[in-house]
Amino acid sequence: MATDTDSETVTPDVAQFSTDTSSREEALLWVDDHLKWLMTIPAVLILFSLTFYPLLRALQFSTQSYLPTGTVFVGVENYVQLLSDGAFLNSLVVTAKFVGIAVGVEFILGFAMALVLNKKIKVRGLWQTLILIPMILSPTVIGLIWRLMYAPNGLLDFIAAPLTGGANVGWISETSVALYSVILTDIWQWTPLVVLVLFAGLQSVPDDISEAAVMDGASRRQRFMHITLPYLKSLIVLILIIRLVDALRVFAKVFILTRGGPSDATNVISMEMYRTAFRFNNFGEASAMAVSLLVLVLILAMSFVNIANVEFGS
Amino acid sequence: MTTKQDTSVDAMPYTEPSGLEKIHERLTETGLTKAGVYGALALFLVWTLFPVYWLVTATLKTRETLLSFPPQWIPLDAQFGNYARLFAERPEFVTFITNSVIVTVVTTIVATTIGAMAAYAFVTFDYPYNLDFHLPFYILSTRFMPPIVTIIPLFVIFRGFGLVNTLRGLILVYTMFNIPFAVWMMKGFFEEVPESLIESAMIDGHTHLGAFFKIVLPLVKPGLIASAIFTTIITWNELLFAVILAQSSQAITVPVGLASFVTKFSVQWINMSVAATIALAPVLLFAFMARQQLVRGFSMGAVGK
Amino acid sequence: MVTVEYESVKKAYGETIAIEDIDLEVDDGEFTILLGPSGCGKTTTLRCLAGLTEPTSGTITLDGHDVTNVHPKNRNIAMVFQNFALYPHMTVRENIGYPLKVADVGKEERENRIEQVAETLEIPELLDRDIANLSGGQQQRVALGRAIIRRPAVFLMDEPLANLDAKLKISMRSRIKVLQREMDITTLYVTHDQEEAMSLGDKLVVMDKGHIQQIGTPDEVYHQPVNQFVAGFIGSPSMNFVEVSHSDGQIQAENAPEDFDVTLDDAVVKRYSGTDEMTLGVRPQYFSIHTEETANAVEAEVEVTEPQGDEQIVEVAAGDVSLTVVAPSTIDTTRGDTVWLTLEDELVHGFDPETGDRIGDPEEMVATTRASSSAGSQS
Repeated sequence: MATDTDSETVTPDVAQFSTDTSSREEALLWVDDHLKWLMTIPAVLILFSLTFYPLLRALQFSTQSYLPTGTVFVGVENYVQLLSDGAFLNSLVVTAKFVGIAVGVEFILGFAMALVLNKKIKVRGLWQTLILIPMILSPTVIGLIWRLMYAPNGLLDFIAAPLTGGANVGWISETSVALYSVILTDIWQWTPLVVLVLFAGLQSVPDDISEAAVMDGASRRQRFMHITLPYLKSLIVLILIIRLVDALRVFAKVFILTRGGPSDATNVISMEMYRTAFRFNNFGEASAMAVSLLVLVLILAMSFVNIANVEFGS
Repeated sequence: MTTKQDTSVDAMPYTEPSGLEKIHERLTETGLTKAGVYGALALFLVWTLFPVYWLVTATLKTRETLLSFPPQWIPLDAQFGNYARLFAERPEFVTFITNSVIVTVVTTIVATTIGAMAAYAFVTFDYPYNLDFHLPFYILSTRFMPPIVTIIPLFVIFRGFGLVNTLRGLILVYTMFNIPFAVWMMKGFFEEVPESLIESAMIDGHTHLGAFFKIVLPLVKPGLIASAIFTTIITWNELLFAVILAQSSQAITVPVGLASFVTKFSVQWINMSVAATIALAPVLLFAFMARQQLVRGFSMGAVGK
Repeated sequence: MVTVEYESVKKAYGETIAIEDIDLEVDDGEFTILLGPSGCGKTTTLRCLAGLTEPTSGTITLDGHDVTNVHPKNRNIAMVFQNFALYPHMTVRENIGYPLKVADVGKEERENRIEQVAETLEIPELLDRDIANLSGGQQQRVALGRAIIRRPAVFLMDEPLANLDAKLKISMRSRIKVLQREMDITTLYVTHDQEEAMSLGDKLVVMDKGHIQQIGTPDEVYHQPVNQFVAGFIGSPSMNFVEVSHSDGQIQAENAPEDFDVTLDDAVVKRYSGTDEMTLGVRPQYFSIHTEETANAVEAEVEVTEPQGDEQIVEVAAGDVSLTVVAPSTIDTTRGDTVWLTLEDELVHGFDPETGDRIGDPEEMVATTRASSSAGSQS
């Protein structure tokens, strides 16, 4: 390219086209031509081979029985087995209790807190960072923290002493109490998420809408019922789905706190699955449990979306 | 102008506020509601933070003061030696930390890169059958699948490939785990980059790939950092896959190591607290660094782990 | 010497055709404007030349080289985007110098050229600023700078003035024109603003619905629109169109045969002999408005007047026919008044009501148009 430094006689360089036919240039152009596939293939490949393919295999496993000599196709026998498996049925009840109570309390507590904070608190505050902490901690660490608090003669026994007269509650060793202790841990961890999400949602209710409602003479209660709630509807559904789906697959907390005990009082589905598969080496029945859990999650999530008639991701 | 409209108001020009409204107004004037709100917030923060404080202070106590009745609220005679003792009594913990660091760093780099590339492609290109719309959606939906569902087949597949008890296996699983999130998060950032910038860069002499690296990536740096930090935290914390896919010490990560403190009949309280504190320190550090993106990410409900 | 040629270029997105049958030649150094309403395909046409959109069929040549499938980076084309597309993470200097940096031009020469370009655009003091701190007009100049620093073979501009306010638009318009003349670079410029197009272009390419409607000088497209679309699109306020019946020079509006009933000049009648129905096109400027009853005039009632300073725009209704008229502000009329409109009948256009094509011999039009344009202004 000739250098032409005289600005008065700026003339276009002679048009230059793809005269470069070096292999590097060729390769670069080839990459550009196929970029749309080259950029997506790694992600799609990994997700296919490590998510969808195992999913299909899980379906296959759930129709097989594992014998020392190899596998046998048994059709739906594993599923039939599940229906009469006391431990599994118990784990369904335990999971339902866990999910129902934990998510219910988290939602009510979190929504109430978000409402209290709304408008009176600086939008971005240190408090938001601080309440993140339980959410980002490893469930393992959380399990250990609460094991420490639930320890005999530990902090929670001390706090409860006025009610119990000093006797140890046996927070995670007493059959009637253990599940509630695990639930309390989950509530501790996830209520902040509900607060954060719903607070952000409340903050995003446009002022002019509620001001217009004020001008129309709506009372506080009416504004809440007619403006705020409908505005938050999709967000409420989203947070409930996230929490439901997440609570259904709870594992680490239970694994650390109680291992499903005492006497299966905290034996949630994932725990039962883990034991069936890796303690009793019954991959067939464990896979049937896994598939059932997946179906349960799908039904729950989809019916939720349908009930609220909101679209995801919007 | 011919039709005269009735312009008189149909109600009183001023309505007396109701009793409740009046009480609320009075409270606001005196600042009592504000005090109430801050009181509630303070209570909530104590409830949220105290357990973490309790763990961290436990690392400075002795076996006696740890479970004393009444509790020792502030560790008076700080036992910093507890930290050295953990590594003396459980030297393998160093290996666990090394393993976790390797797995976390590699996973973060790989997952963020792969996720960002896919997200960019979905935002930029048109795919047949509307895949650019559907694929990201399916990718995200895998996040809602309980991971335990695939764990048995993964265990069997990995056993076949000799990937059980290897860091490579864990990295592979965690990459799979984090890609959906990276795609979804980066997608939002790429959508903010005007298409004309990429076109301009191509006209200025870049290939499309060159424009992606030189122009687009620098612009979405905040997204890359946020996505990397999320990936780091999730990977560092993960227990389920680690327990099942890495049972021998050459591949044990910190969460599995932590879990081992409670498998015995007697819990090693002090060592456990020290190890847990070491495990949570980097998470807190990263979270603090990315606090704004974290608040935003969680607030959008984008994260569910 | 760079000429551009489109040969039956077509771009379709599935079933939807964005552009079709695009045949266009741009001479070296020519300033060509692609003009049309939004969605007419003008930007697609431009993007095909840039290489940002790949044509479905047809060829595009630059100076005889077929570049239809050449990567944009290898076309030596510069482009200014509507939103300027400046790299937000770079300074002004880095933005302007970026094409040279990509081309591996040495730092020293790069700096020289940046300084030169900044001088030309009168922005040397902005060089070390961040893009975020620039006003719209300043960003526009940086975008121009980045485009010209490479001395491109062809200069493409996609609505470069659309994001500027009215005043800045006019000053940037003349700057672009001067720059283009000085650099003598073949330029294709997309706009939907016909006023901008008329004032800038050597050649106007009027497009609609993916097809080129007319190619010509600003004068040609204004005075000899080939069809009703071009006639209506060019000129402000828009041309009036009236469905009329015609016999022997007698013109009657179909919706208001009594109010709109005029006889045309003999010279004009010849053009429309053999046509008994047509769409009559009259520019608002080619009516003369009278407040007293006038012979051979359209009788109408004033609906609204919009003063514009020296002129006023008068909306009138002749029966069911609404007409827009531009009149001197000295005419005193107001809503409800009855007025009489006479036609500059050499300047009316007739269009086929079915196809929208113009009726009449264009050659003859040129003569009558030129001859009467001075006479028309006296009435």
